[in-house]
Amino acid sequence: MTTTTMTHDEAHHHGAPTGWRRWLFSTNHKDIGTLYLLFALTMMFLGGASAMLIRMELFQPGIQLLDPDLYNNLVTNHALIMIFGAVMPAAAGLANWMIPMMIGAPDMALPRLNNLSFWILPAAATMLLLSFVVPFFPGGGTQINTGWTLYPPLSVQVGMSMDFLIFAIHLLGISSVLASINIIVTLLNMRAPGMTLMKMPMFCWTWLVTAFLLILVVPVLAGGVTMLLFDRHFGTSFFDAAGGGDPVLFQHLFWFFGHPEVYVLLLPSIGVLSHVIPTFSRKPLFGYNSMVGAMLAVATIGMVVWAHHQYTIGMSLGAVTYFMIGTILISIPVGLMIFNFIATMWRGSMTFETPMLFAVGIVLMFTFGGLSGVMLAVVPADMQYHDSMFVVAHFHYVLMPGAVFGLFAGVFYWLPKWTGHMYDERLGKIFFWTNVIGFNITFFPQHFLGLAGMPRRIIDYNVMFTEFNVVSSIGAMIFGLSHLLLLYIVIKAIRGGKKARSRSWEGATGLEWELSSPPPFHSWTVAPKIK
Amino acid sequence: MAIPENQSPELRKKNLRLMWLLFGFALMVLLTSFPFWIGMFRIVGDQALG
Repeated sequence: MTTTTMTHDEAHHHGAPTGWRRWLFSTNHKDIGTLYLLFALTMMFLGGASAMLIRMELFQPGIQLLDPDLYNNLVTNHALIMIFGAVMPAAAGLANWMIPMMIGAPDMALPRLNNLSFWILPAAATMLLLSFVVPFFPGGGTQINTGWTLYPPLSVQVGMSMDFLIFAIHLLGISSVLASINIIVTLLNMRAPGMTLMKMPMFCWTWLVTAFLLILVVPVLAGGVTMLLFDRHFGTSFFDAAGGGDPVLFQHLFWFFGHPEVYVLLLPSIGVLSHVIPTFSRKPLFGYNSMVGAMLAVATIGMVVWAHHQYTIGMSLGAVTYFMIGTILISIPVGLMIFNFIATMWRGSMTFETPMLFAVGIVLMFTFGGLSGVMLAVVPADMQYHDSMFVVAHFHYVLMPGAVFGLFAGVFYWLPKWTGHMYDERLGKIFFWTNVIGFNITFFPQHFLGLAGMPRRIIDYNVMFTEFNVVSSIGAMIFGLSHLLLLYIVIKAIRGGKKARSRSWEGATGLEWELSSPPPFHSWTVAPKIK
Repeated sequence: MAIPENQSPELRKKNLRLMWLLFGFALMVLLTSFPFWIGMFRIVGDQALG
């Protein structure tokens, strides 16, 4: 590999700063990546705690620990914390850490903006948590019992905690858009000489598409919640039927954001898989060009099928038919991606280290979640499943394997590169199995509960649903507690362990593995030239 | 803390230009979402009723 020099002040800034200033004022992509990941981990435990409380309440019929409003408040917070606080920041953390190293850049294109994107997040998280806490204080108003979808008219009637939530969503949106702008500029302008777009690592491609998706849909959500704020306090009637508005308009605005958001969560993990599977199959990725095409197709079609979340609102036959066909069409490019992953593994010299275990788990379980998605896409069937526990099972099978397990695979895959130490492989495998078994015990029974008619977002249930709920709750405790092991493995790898080589995995390819483990404070001070 | 001088002035200018372009695009999506969605909603609603 030949090299070419970039302008760089050799005399300055070669050591990592120390103390709190290193983190607060950081413009270094690796430090900001670490901050994102630590933030996401913290929020994952908070969101996980709310999920465990929900499952404890549902352990048996009747009302045990919570009251109905608090239960729904927990449901709302669990979703918002996990989506905006855990998964998106974790994916942004991987992007910050890996994108400059993968494309041969010294840092992100806009380092100060990078700092701002991250430090908005703790403020947003504080607002988000306050929206949960405020109703417990005198005069704090009612709890947010709307679910993460925030549908009016209920969201117009909720107390002041909803205002905290609206501002939290604004801040989270600003952070996401700024981070997306930075990622797009980095990927388009900072690639090493010779690295054309079609030579770019797949993780970078997935993030390029994700960042464009975010810029397109997050402002629409911001617009929607701003209109909600106006309806609540400034006498407008965007969503108030009595004033000439319509609450269904909010649903359209919300899901125009909400459905592409699913792909925002999924695509970075697909990017991780596109590196993990070839590495541990010791083969190049099968069908790079078709992967890029499939991803673009998923993003494009995913933008125009939002109303499949709203079949029951009474749309015209033409509209529901369009949304149904469009939704089912998405399974074609997604199926192509899964096919490419399987084709990459086919006749490869496969080994099953922890990242690969997660990757294979994703291919199996995400496909399962996708299949129940096809069931939900069919209008007459969806009329039966709508708002039942079947939907809860479906989207957890999509988002846990599709997004979260992909992030776990990425963390285990790149942890040696980040820390300079190999993690404890035995513990990694124990974590995988407890996590996956716990996940399946939790969510598989919920398919049956939904098909039998158990509604979601309701604190109590009929005694006929008891057995599956008991199983699901036991699974949730195993699943939730297993994440403590993840924390232990990460801390152990940071503190020490077997030294990692530059190329930590035998089959790994890509520029990031040319750098030392851990990499120098400034990644590529001299840009590599790609042939 | 100062930012490492890892970008040539031309590259920095190019980065900032693209940043503002994308920022303007995001702002346009935000501002046009209000009339766009209300108008589109009315059209779809009228069709469903008519």
